[in-house]
Amino acid sequence: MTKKVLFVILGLMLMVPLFAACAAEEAAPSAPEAAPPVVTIYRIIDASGVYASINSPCAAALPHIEQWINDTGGICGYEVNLVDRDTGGALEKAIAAYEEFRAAEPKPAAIIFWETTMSNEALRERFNEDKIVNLTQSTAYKVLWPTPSYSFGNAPSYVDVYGGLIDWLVANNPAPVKLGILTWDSGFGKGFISPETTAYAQSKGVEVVSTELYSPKDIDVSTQLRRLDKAGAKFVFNNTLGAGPAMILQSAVAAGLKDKMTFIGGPWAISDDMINIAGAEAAEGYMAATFSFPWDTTGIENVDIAKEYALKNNLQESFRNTSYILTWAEYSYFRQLYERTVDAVGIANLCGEALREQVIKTVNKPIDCGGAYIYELSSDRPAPKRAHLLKVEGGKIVPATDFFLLPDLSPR
Amino acid sequence: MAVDVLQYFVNGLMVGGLYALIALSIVLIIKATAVFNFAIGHLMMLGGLFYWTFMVALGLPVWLSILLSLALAAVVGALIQRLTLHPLIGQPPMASLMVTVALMYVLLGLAVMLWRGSIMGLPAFISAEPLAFGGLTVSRQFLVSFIICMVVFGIFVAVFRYTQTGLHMRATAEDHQVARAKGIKVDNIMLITWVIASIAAAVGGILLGLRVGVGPPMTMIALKAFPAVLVGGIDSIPGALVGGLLVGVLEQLAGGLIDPALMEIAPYIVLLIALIFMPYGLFGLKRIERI
Amino acid sequence: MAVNRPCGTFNENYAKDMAIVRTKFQWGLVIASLILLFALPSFCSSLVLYLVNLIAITLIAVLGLNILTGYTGLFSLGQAAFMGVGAYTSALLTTYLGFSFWLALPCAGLSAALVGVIFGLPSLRIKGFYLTMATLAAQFIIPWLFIHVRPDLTGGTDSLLVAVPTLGNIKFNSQASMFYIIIPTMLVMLLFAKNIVRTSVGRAFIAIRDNDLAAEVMGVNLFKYKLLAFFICSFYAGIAGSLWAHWMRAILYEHFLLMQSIWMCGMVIVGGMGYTVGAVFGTVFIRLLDQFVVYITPVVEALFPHLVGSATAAVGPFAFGSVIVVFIIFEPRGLAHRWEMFKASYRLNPYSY
Repeated sequence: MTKKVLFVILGLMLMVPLFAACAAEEAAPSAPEAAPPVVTIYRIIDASGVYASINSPCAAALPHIEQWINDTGGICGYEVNLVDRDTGGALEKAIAAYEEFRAAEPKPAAIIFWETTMSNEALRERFNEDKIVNLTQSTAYKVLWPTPSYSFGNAPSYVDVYGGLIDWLVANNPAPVKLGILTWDSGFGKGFISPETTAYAQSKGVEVVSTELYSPKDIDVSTQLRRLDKAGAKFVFNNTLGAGPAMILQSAVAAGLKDKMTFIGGPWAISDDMINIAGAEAAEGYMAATFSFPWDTTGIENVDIAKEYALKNNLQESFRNTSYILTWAEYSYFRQLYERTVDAVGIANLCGEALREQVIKTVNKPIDCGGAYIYELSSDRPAPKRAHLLKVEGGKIVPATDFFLLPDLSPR
Repeated sequence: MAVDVLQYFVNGLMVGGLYALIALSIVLIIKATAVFNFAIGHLMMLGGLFYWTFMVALGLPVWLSILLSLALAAVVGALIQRLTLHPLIGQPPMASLMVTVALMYVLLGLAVMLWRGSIMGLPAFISAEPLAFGGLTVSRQFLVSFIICMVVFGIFVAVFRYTQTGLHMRATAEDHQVARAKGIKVDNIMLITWVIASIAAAVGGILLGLRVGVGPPMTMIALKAFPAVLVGGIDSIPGALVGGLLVGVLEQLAGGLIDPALMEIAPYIVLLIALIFMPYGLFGLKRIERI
Repeated sequence: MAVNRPCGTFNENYAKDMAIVRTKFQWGLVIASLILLFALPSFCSSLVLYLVNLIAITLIAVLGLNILTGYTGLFSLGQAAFMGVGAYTSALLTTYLGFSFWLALPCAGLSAALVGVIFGLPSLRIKGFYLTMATLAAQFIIPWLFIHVRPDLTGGTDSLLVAVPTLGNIKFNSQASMFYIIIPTMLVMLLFAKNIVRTSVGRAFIAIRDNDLAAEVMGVNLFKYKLLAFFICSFYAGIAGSLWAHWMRAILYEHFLLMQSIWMCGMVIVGGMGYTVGAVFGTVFIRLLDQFVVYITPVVEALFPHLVGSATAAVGPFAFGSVIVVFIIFEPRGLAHRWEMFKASYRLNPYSY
């Protein structure tokens, strides 16, 4: 008897997604016929997998941003529908989501890709063939190049950020600068290593003393830090996120090396999450070159709007951080990109090629995200080229420098 | 050089203590129920999340939070055993194995739903300042967590060896039917085993949480305890201890002296060699049988 | 067996007795479903084709695992790694040695099979859990080798881009075109798997599974047949890997990690160990369930509008895990077992016996 009841429950549980699938199928194509066209912007995001901690605020921001865009006139007067698809970090689901979106009606001009470097590498060629612009969060060397392609970074590329940090190190420290690298052993972690960056470091007189690797599974990296210390490293660079920099900082404290070295990181390395994990004391003094702003920034239009909508929607306390603010800046860029494309070719001709044209044109006509960031991309340099340094001070993230131009380390 | 070797060795012991505790939890369940618990990392995460909730969100004192989170972890372990594994007694053991795999998804889903998937740092109740012994530096945090691991390990071994429940547990591990014939309630023993294993996992989760923060990524660390279980012998409690420490030490020595790229793989190479020359691990029960 | 035969159908000779497709009606069904299958690309969206391709490739690997696990009783947690061996072999051969895909495909199968045999060697001394753990070691060592041996060739931790298969002027670069490579391969492998267990080799496997001592006494060479089981199992994995590489068009060690191996075992178990049709059921069930849970999130979002972000996203994995737990509790012997019972009761209807 109970078995039967449970079977019915199991059956019902299976039916729910079936119905949902049918509902989703039906809802999508019927919309454009009667009503004025709706601009749908798709995003593929890992919100329940390994990146859940970083991406949760980014997923939470989406309905707020949709509200804002539609409140302020949509895209050239057309209503906007922002769609999120969670992949849980699984390659199969990322590609399934891509196959679903690319076949959507009307065909999307761009897909925003907030996922792992791995799935991005697998999809790169398909974006090119399908002529859909890949607005990617993963700005690794192998994702953005070779150009021309349909992949464009939403953040400065890892190689350029590394170059910018080298510039900053050389300008602010007595020579010789001894740099050690300690990063994740993955495509993302090593995404900044290229022949150009190695040559650039050399030409600037920065000595890379040793390259050590670790994995997100490790619970202690003091062994690697000791090896760096022995090699004479005074600065330690990593390109990781969330628990990645936290692990390095904690191990440095535990091994008594915190005061002997300065720790710096790539574009995603600094976040409130990281400070939470490492603890304010260990994180103190950590620096990263990136383009986001801390939550309590004031006087920047885009950040103010973001905070206004967050408060209006009662955003939970733990999501009020850099990730949330950053999502707003990027969507402000996407919005203007779509607006320019619609202005140029009209809503009927909104397609990947037209959108790509507009992305490339930002090199002469930069897009300003309400003061939060300036996007200027070109075909050869498919990522924005400005960054500032953020620093952890007293458990809070504060800007340490103004925005500066990053050197161009694109492969030639 | 000698100091380096010693330093890496001590480091390895400290890390290995945690592996040993996780390995203990796995071995306990294998011994009593012949199920390899793949969800161990997720049980650790839950333990850590409970602790975070009591300690940070509710602001309870440390000792009370620890007690409450261990109690909750025990309840979770009991629920898992009663609801999912109990109905599978007498079915192919691989079905139970798959249930623990599916539980990974259930527990991950729950954790992300209730705690929003954030990684939460735990306030350190141990000072982060390192201790120096001559040329050696030892993290105070790691030293304390090593001692806690060893104490917890000792308690469980004592329970297993000197109490009547422990005797019953050992009898059950030996042979379910004989144990049942002798009047031991095998069902209850399995329940107790899961409770104890969950508590061990929760202790591991709290200690790890101090280090890496509690959240979904910490579940990956359980993978590191798998070779520890195997090297020590899959059904041996002292084996879990030796295996855990050995894996920790090997990893740090290989990483420190040869190449950090070897850290991840060294335990598995040793494992493969061990499987060929000592198929039942260091302390595993040798089944005399020609196959 | 006899009970499953339609009324009035008699086996008049040995060939008829062994036939898989017995009656004219069954032939009709087979042909109709084949036509339907091969017409799929003309009316299905690319998402559906993608899922069919994904299921077919996974199915090939699972079929191999089913021969090793379901028929020979040797549990392996290394199937994904063996698949990786096939994928990298195929990718390296086509990229650096100029092999065509058609030649690289069998080479990938063979190289994976050889690696499988090497890691199967411990099976001569150990069994049960310990053997599983030896294959677990393979699962960790092989991806490590992909990264660290010749990273200049394999790309190390960066994806290795793989060329699409070509035949004359046709480039197989879409889901629909790959469908016509993947599905025929899958059908051949399926037929092979179905048949191999009906030969003397298959009976030797089953004898080893049921009692290896007794099998040896009866003259089954354990050494030979255990390694043969590993060989066949990893050969299947290698073929699946090669298809995966040329279909995904970029491969990375992360595609072939422990979780994939575990899920392949899960597909064998959910489908029913030791039934070829079980592998099909298990693969289809788990892959489709995995995709369907994606659509739960919007429903939950609509029902509980104040929940946002990960809270709703997490409903997917939660539902996925719960359905499988409940499923295994009620059907621990797998879908194929239920299928056999259904077939028997259908044949005997309205009588029970």
